[in-house]
Amino acid sequence: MKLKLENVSKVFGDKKAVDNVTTELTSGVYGFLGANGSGKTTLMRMLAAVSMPTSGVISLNGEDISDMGARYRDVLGYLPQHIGFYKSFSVEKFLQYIASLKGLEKREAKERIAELLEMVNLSESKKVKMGKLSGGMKQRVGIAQALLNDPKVLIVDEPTAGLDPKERIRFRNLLAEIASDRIVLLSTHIVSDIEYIAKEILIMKDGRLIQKDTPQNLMKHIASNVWSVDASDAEIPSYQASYKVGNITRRAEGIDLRIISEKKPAPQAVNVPVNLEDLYLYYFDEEVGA
Amino acid sequence: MSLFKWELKKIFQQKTIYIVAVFLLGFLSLNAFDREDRSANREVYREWAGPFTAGKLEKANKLNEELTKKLPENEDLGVLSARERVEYGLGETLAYSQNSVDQAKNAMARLDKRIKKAEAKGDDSAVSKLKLEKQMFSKVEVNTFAYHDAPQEVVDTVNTFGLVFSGLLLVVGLAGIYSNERSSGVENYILSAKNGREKIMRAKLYAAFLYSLAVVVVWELYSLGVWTYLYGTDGWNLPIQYSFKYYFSPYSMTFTEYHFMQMGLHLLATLALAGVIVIVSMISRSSMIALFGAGVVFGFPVFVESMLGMEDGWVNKLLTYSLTNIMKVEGLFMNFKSVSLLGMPVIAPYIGIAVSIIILALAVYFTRFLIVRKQVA
Ligand SMILES: Nc1ncnc2c1ncn2[C@@H]1O[C@H](COP(=O)(O)OP(=O)(O)OP(=O)(O)O)[C@@H](O)[C@H]1O
Ligand SMILES: [Mg+2]
Repeated sequence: MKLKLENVSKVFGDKKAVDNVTTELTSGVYGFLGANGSGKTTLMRMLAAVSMPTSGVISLNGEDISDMGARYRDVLGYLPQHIGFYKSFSVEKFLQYIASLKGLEKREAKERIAELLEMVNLSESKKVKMGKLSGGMKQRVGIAQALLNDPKVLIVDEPTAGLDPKERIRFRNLLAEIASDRIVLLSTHIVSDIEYIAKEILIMKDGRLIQKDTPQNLMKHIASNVWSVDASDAEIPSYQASYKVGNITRRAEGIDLRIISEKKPAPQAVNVPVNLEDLYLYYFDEEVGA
Repeated sequence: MSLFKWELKKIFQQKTIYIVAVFLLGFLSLNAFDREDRSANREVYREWAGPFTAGKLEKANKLNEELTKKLPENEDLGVLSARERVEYGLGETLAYSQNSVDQAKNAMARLDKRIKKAEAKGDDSAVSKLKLEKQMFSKVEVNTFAYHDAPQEVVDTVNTFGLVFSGLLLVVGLAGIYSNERSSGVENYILSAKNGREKIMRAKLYAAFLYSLAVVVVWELYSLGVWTYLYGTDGWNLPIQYSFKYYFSPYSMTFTEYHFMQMGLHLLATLALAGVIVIVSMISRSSMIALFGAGVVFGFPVFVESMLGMEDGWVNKLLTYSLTNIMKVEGLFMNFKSVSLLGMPVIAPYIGIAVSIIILALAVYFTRFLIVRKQVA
């Protein structure tokens, strides 16, 4: 299975929200990183067939998805960034409605809904009205609806927003489990969501896709740029003014700053192993540093 | 559950439609039951029902004279009994009916004159129109008299209460059919789902049409119920010319025949309005805008007409065939109206039917055209 984007752009007025993106996705989880407003949602909407590229072509196994129409949507699961619902529908009824939309048979739908409610840990709340759910619970209903038709292409836009740590881990495991034979594209601002399950990471900046590689390669790429520096309280502001500063850890013997920098920030600085957090800072924390 | 049932459910679950319906039905009831008692009319008219004769008119006028003697100086009718009051006015009523008979005859004579004039001018299209009108008038027969309050009110309810009820309930009930999904964000799921475009569109249209039918059936049953309860079932076989509004109508029809035609046309135009509202809902950015837009589609013709008054310009001619006016129906039947197509005069009701069908077809076509291209806001 191959989802291919060729020179895909989306323009709103004079704003290029997605700028000439070309790439290819095959089975597995793709983590999608990018600062606010970098164009992730816009790109995912086009992949979810709810929006059309201003120019360029998206194809699944060589066939333009806009020509495939209902056949493409049949293999698609989509969780939008901002989930909508009918307040007066119960969780179960809402899922039944989406099941009808996805063309599931009644019996099939019933079984599948029970299974998914179990999976997202909402079986107890199936009779609760959507309007009465907490943010994280709504999000889980959103995840369940995306999976109703057992999609081959799963587009999830910040699926873990609002989930508590336990549910977040549950979701991560769920994705890892199902991703083997399908394409999953997951956007997030929380790198730990994708750290261990992403086959590749896509990095978006100002509408352009600036990186697409395995987490290992990406981290290798910046291996010599991550430093640990011992500092005193008084020194922190000056480091922050001239470098990208990550975690600040207070220890008994002093303060440890994590700094992303091409050159050694201080004589006592030592290179430390890279994590995805650093990657994020490296690409997106622009305001500080030279 | 099928998509159609879901859509139907979403329409009928809206509380506002019930509030509006109850409010309007209450209004009709207040209006109807707040009238003077007409049972004396029914009783007296029944005694006088039947073909016109000169003798009857004379008798009625004599009765009027006798009762006049009973009246005090200030001619206060209060001294008369209910029955006597009806008898007092009977002469006038009969004279009016007699006039209807004459009107048909006079119309023929007038038309003959106008045909001659048009022929002299060589205006072929006018001649064929006038000839058609004359031919239609020749079939109008107004020569029996009967009590006819019930059919007159039922027929008149279509263009007053019925129009408002159908229009408002369609606007309120259908404006959200697509826009609510945009406002709530559910649109994202729908448009990305297999059946979320063409199939659901069909389901929505069918649901909208069924809802429209239900709306029309509700007010019609209510109107028939109320007016039959108040005025009975007399008069349905009388020609429509007995209703003041149709005095000049060239259509030879009984109230029963006309009312069927009225309801058919009203329903057809209402379905077309439903189609247009669905499109408005689909292209609106929010539910509020959709509601406003749908209101404008329905109310605009009425608004423009009230601005222009009765002036006989092309705008008014065009507006005769606006959906709102077709839903009103009466404008197509009260007078002879026609449009020349390829030199042939086509009478207004046919134009009304054609316009409704064309708008309905276009609405369905554009809904389909738009839905495959629809994007989230
Ligand atoms: N419908 C629209 N009309 C106009 N501009 C838009 C529209 N949708 C998105 N944009 C603009 O396109 C850019 C990309 O937005 P997008 O929502 O895709 O970013 P994002 O990466 O998903 O951000 P976030 O992390 O905040 O979700 C932004 O500048 C946004 O203002
Ligand atoms: Mg986004």
